Amino acid sequence: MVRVLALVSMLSSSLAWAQGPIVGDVEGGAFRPFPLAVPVVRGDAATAGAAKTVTQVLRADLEMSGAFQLLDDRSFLDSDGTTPDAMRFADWQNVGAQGVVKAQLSTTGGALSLALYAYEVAAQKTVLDKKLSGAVDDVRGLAHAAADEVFRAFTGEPGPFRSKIAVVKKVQGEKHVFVVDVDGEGARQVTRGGGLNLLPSWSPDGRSLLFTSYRFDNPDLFEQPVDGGLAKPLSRRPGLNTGGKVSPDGTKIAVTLSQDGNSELYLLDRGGGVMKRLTDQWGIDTSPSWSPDGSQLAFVSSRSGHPDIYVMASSGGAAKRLTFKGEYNQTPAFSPRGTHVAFTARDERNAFDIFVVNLTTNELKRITQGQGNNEEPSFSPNGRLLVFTTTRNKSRQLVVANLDGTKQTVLSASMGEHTSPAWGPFIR
Amino acid sequence: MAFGRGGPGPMSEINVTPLVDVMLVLLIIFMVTAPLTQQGVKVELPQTDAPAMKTSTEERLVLTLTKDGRAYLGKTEVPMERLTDMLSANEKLKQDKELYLHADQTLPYGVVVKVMAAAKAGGADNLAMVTDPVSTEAPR
Repeated sequence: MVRVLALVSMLSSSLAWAQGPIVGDVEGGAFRPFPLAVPVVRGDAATAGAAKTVTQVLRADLEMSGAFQLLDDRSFLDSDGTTPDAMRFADWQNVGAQGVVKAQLSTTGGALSLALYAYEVAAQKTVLDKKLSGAVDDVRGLAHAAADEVFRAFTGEPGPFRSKIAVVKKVQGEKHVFVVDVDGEGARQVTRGGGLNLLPSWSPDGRSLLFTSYRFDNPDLFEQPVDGGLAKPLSRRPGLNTGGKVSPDGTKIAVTLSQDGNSELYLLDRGGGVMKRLTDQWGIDTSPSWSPDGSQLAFVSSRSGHPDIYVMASSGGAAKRLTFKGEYNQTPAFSPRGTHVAFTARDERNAFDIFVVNLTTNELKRITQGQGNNEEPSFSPNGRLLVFTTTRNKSRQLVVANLDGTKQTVLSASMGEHTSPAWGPFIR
Repeated sequence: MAFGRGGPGPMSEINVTPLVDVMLVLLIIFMVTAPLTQQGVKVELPQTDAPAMKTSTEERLVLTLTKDGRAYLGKTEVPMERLTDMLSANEKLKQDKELYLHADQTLPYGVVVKVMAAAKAGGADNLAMVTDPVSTEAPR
């Protein structure tokens, strides 16, 4: 933890772009989004429509990250080429761009091919020169892949844009687990039948989802491959079998069971057999979330008289209380960087909002306020963004936000009632 | 409705402030003379004894208007009809709040004023009129 902190302060104090990432530490106090020009992706007669889609998706992804300020393309001169030798950097300096992304879309042998370049304007340096290819029927996927490349070129970190979000959606009186893209598009239903299917979570390899289903009239834990296949029961013990989360090493499942009359945390093996009971309290213990190294669990306990967030070793033992404000703190999510825990809290006006606590400094940051009810945060795999639900536009939609809440994007494609979003792992 | 005079009547005062004054009222205009090493598009600048531009034009946003009515942002020509749009969306103009106008001395006042209004719309507080020093023959 100390080493992470030292690295962060080194990045934010360093003005030399040549060393380290160009964009720098996006959670630093003095961070200003990096002014980036993304002119229209060029295409030919066959790819003109696809080029337009790639431009839109690429721009939306980069904007959503909060790391970039996408410049207004009406100001662009954009009379230069896309390749390094055909760039006119002075033109981009004159519109205030510090970075430029250029791309050319063509078709080769029935597939899409995207020649992607990114430049740092002041240094006149090529930071990305890569050919991406994609199927003609997956233009958006190609654009998300391009966004990942650009994000990595400027920040030095992998981008989260090809990853998927699992979410529960209400359909015709039932609730089902869907998988959507990071911009809420491309929704695909995973669970079939069973009435209520709730609380999805990803296996670390991104191949399957755990969820709780009432298909046998009891909240039982199931696992199902993301790309179809049958739902396999993992735990059908009497009472609750909810909120199952696979450990980062893929060997264990942390879950809430109430077989002994009270909600307690247990560790199951991957087949569903009980390995260990973790908590033994008079209050409710529920909603476990793994730390990235698998050594700790954040969870909710009402042992103090009302729900609060606690952290304990995943091998069991004493728990450390994390939240001391408010009377209703729930749904913790451990950051994949191990630095923060995000959770939902009810404030004095009975509004639900998202908070993030820094585990190093114990500093508490409020992400939402006065924007309807905001609940159930989940971290992007790079730990830089959160997805959660909001009622700010009446129906319960998804929002993607950065960790200080300064950039929040409501996913307009997420129409209808959405609950329990879970951001999946990186796509390799 | 009239106030304090009882009864309706024609308004005796007409606001005659021209629109251009409204547009430029907050625009600070200053003059600078171009350095002899000035690169870029060649125009005949008006001659004044204004102070010389101190910094290099490379990092300044320079808009050039030539005798035949062409516009250049830096060294790249931009369509005259898109100029207002381009300047009002320009992030550098928003940050620097400064535009260096490098216009040929024979240009009509109307053209220059139109550009000034566009610069103002783009967020410029300062407009620098680039001129040549008096009694200096253009070296190019």
